[in-house]
Amino acid sequence: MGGGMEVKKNKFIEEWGTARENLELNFRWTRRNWAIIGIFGIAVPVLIYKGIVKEFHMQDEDYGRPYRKFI
Amino acid sequence: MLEHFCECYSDLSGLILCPVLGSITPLFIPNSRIRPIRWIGLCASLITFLYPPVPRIQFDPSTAKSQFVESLRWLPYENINLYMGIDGLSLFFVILTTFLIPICISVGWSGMRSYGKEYITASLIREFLMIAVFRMLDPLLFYVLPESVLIPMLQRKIKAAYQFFLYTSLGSVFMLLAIPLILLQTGTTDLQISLTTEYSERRQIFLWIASFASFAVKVPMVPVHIWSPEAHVEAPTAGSVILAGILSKLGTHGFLRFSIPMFPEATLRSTPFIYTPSAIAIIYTPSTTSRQIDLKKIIAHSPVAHMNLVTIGMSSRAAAGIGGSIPPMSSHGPVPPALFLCVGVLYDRHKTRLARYYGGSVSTMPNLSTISFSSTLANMSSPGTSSFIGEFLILVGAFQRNSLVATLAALGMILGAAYSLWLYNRAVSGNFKPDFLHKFSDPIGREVSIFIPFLVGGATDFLVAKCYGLNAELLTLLVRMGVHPKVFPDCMHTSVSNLVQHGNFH
Repeated sequence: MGGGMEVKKNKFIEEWGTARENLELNFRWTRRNWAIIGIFGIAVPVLIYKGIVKEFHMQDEDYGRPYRKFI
Repeated sequence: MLEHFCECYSDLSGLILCPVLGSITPLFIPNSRIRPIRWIGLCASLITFLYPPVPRIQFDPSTAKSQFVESLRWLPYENINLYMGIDGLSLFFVILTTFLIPICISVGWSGMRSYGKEYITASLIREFLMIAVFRMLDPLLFYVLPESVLIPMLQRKIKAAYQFFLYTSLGSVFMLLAIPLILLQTGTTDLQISLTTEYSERRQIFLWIASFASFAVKVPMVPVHIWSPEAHVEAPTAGSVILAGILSKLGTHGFLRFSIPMFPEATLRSTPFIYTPSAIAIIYTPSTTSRQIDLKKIIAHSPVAHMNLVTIGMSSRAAAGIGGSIPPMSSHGPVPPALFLCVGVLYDRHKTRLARYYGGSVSTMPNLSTISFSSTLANMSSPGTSSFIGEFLILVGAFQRNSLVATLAALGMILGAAYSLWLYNRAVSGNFKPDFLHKFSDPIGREVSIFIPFLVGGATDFLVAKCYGLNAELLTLLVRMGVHPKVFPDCMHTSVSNLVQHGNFH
């Protein structure tokens, strides 16, 4: 493609973009991050899994069959 | 050897031989003569797409058996054969692969000045490998071929390439461990024999987990999806097109082809285990997309959400869910690639992908805005587009099994629509920013010709098909499936029913 259309880069936007793209470099194990990981990394998946299994077991109860076993 | 090869040659061998020959020929031409190299690459890929024996193929949708089967002895001592065929489950992926490769070669047309030979050879080798993967009916070679596909993908940006290679290779190692176990029990790695073998429940679970580890990385499922956005962003536009269009289907195709039919008991037992990360991915990826600032990264997250919706459909064990999981995989082939191409057009001109610089393109680049609007509609699965019918069927299948998962999946679809519109608004609507961007140009002829197959491909393919006397049904389905989705159930119904019956998934 023909040249001459390059963006006029803004220093602040570039720095902001670099910081946003390199979050792992500034990551620290703070109490807040532990809480976020605990909630969204462990509690929410476990809750969803339990909910899904419960739904299957409710279906088993409706059909009067023994609970299915899952991994 | 030659005689043996001639015996095994079937109508579909040309589908593999065309790209192989096309990839070898440029090696004898110096890189300074870029024009013949480019034309040879494009012609080879187009010949593969419009493969002459197509009218003779006459795919029979009434049988679930693999058709056009080719078998070549590969490791005779261990009874491992190169065994390939096509059925209703793999037909669409082969067509999708041959559809996207000419587009990828056209995308890199002006950029491949100093490395044209390598670009064409890598693209065509990749095409050959991907067609072979989708036709492969042997688990061992199904393991080997996707690993080989990764090699031509490693083009630039070392970190993303390492991440991509490490994740997919590490996941696949588990499948490699499972193959000797299958070989020990069945005495062969032939899929047809493996399908009729009764594995004990414990062994099924072990083998299922091993194959799941491999396919989950390729899908990609949360939390092993990190490589996907990185690889999409760092790859050139053609690489992103292939990644989103075809490579992300390898994992789901592996589930359909191997995990579900070979280990039905383990599939039943692991349903919540698949539902949970899939449901999380469907909510998480659109949510995290709203925080992205790179246009390509925003699009790169969409395959994760779409493919996890597909895994929900496949795990629903209902004909609607399994059958419904194939159209999104095929429709998802052209949709994110079209969006990646839109971003590629912007990047070619302005050399930045930061969303902050863009805005108001509707007044400066109206044609590109129109193209990206239609692609955005398809990405958010609005009715009438190719994605809608598949996602609807998946939701129907999921509701039959588990309403909680179906609710989460439906919520994810709303979030998907939200981020698609948000992306469109940021780049196209809003205020024009003359402080950053001062010169514009709408897509030129070559770029428009690349977009045409995505937008009006149905019409053009139909004309080409009529001229060549080819089977128009097969060629036009990618684009007209939004308004005429009947083609899908017609071709795959028998294969899907067979899969459901084989696993007693009633």
